[in-house]
Amino acid sequence: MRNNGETNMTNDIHKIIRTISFFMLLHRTLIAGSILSSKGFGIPMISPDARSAGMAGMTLAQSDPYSVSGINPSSFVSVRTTLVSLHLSAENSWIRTGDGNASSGYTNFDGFLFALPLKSGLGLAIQLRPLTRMSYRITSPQQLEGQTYTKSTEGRGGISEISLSAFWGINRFLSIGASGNYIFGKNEEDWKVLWDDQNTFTGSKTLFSARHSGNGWTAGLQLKPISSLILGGSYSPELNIDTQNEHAYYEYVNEATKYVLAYDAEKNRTQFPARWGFAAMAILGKTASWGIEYTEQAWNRFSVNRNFVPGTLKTQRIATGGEFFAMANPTAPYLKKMAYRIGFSYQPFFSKDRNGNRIGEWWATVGLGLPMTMGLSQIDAAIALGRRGSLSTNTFSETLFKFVLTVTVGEKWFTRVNE
Amino acid sequence: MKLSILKAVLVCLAPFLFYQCSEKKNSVVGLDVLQRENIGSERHAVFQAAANDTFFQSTVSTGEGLYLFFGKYATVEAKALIRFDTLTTSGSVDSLVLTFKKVKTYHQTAGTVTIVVSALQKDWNEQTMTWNAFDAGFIGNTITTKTIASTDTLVEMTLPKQWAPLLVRSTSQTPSYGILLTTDGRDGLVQTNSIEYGQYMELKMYVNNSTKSVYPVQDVFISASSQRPDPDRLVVADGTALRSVLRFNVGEIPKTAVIGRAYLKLHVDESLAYPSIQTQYTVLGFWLKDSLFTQGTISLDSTKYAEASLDNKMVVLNVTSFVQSWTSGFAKNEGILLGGKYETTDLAGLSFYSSRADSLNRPSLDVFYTLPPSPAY
Repeated sequence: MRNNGETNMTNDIHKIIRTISFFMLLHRTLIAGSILSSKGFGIPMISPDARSAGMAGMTLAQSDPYSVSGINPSSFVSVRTTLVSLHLSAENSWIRTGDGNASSGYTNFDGFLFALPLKSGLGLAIQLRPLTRMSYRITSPQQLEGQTYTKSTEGRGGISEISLSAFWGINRFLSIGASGNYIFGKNEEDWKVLWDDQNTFTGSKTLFSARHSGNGWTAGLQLKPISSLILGGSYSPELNIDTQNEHAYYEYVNEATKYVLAYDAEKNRTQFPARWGFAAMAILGKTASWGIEYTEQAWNRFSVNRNFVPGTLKTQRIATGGEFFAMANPTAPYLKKMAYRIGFSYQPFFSKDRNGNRIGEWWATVGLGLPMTMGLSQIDAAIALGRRGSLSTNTFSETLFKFVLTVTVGEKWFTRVNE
Repeated sequence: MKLSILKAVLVCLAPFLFYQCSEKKNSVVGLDVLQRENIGSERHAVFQAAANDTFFQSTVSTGEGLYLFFGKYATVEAKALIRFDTLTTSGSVDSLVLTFKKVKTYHQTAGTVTIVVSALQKDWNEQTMTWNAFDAGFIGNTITTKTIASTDTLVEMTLPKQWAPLLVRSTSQTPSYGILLTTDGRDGLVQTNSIEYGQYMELKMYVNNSTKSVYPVQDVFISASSQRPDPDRLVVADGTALRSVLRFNVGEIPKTAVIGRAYLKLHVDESLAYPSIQTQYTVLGFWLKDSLFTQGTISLDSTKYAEASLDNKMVVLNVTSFVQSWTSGFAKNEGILLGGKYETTDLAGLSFYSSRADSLNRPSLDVFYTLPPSPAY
């Protein structure tokens, strides 16, 4: 039984988190993100839960009853209660180029997960998560023959994946899982030119709109050869994504006053590259774990209508991270009932810069796991600091700050009686 | 203590989240970071007129103008036709006086003007009367002449009284055809008010020792220009209805381009300018619907025009919508027709340098346009 002081402290922490979450939801802003998100379908996202995010996004060998990312469908086997999990993320980036600096921000839901364990180690799960995100805006003053104008471009959207997963803990050594994935989404990019002399000049707007749909599958497994080691791996084959592209060209004054001058549409089939990876997680007694993960995605095979997109490369991501476990003793101080995580990762961006140089991406992460009432729910939070690109090599660099919050609820009345 | 630290850390996150809710921040990052083709695709181009630009004489009705013109100025010649109302009083006419206000006299060289009043002997209508419809058969005998100075503002001309039955109608007589006002053919153009102006020309008659006034019921001026086609000039003129046609090949502008601004720039040869009742000569540019003008028929869209006045020896017409329609494929580029705004009410004109004139003075189409970028792959 908790004492009053601890209860008050727990309530205070939860109140602060609820307040922060409230503002994140109330003022959800899909505003400018990375300028690199203008490429392809946008920036590829791993979108792990906050627990994995605190360990540099390691997901393949994670085995936790309250925190699952679903990227490896076999990791659902560790879930003991019916779970509902919501991910929120907020990201800021500070961009530096030789021309100057800029900053942007992004806050949004980043996923939803529902897992339902059944009999004999079997279970089902459904998950919604983003695969890419496009969110940027750039405004630039220009001049032509003495006429001044402002040129701006803004991109938004991305593609998401809804997955239905089945998993099976065959025995205590081996778990397998598979997901059927439906991919959908929309990207929009508009370019505007607004002349300062609006009395004699007409502005322009070009709107590129693309609706995507496709399907695919993912398979994964987790192997526990010994109690102190978890090995995990997953594989998603190449996805065929059908895209309906629409291009509209406007005379533009403002959003209420614009006239379509031309319109065309086309259909594309895009090959979204296969992704695979493996990971190993060592359990260091009852206090901590540490692991390493390798994933690879052949973006150099990224193609539109069977034409490979130039300037792309195979990305190899390596991450390492660990966790100091929360104490299971209900009478332990609250801070000792929290889990603490840390991680580091590196991967190149999937596209080269305009000079053909690779764009490196580093992340350092820390995270917390906060147990909630009755021990069946949990809040995980992670903070990540990243760097993408290099001013000297790529002529630009982005400093990235990310906050991820995952709320997992697993109430008793969801729990199967025979478990 | 530890709780306080934890609270402090979490509270520190709040400003970050508020910051997220702030307005979008405009980036100063160059657009070239996007690595897209056609970035910086705003273009400026100057097109020269095609070499087949020319001018021609059209036909317009000038019966609704506020003024009447007659006489000669430079290459322009005008005549005024006036028909008077019915005189219902019977009796013998003792005298007959024609009175009108002279608004202005135009001269190339200062001097007097000799006005000639003639009888008309064929029927006419102010709505349909044109220079081309007027022939020698209209002109009857000369009734009177009078020489006036450029300073005269009121003109009174005594007419022989025997002309009275022919100049005014009565219910029992055959219709009168009215009078024709011209000059003796020397330099000098007279401007006077028409019926539409409201300050009427007057025909005073003394009948049975009382004065009776009769006013015009129809009036019109007809005019023509003896301006010969000059390959180096384009002419537009009110009254004489001289119009010009010119074309620009803008085919190099892609269909998806948005025209920011298109100016048709015309340089004026002031030595060939006609007088004008307007403070500034105003030109209209019409959108030609087809290329039939070579067959003598002009088809234009009177609802789509650009308008500009002479300013600093230039006329600059904003033809953005024309060029946008041509490049977007909404309309075929058949060229632009230039005409005077007061074509039916004024007697004035301008000459522009044509495509064969000195290269600095040729008509040009100055276009700013925007090309769309290539879409992201």
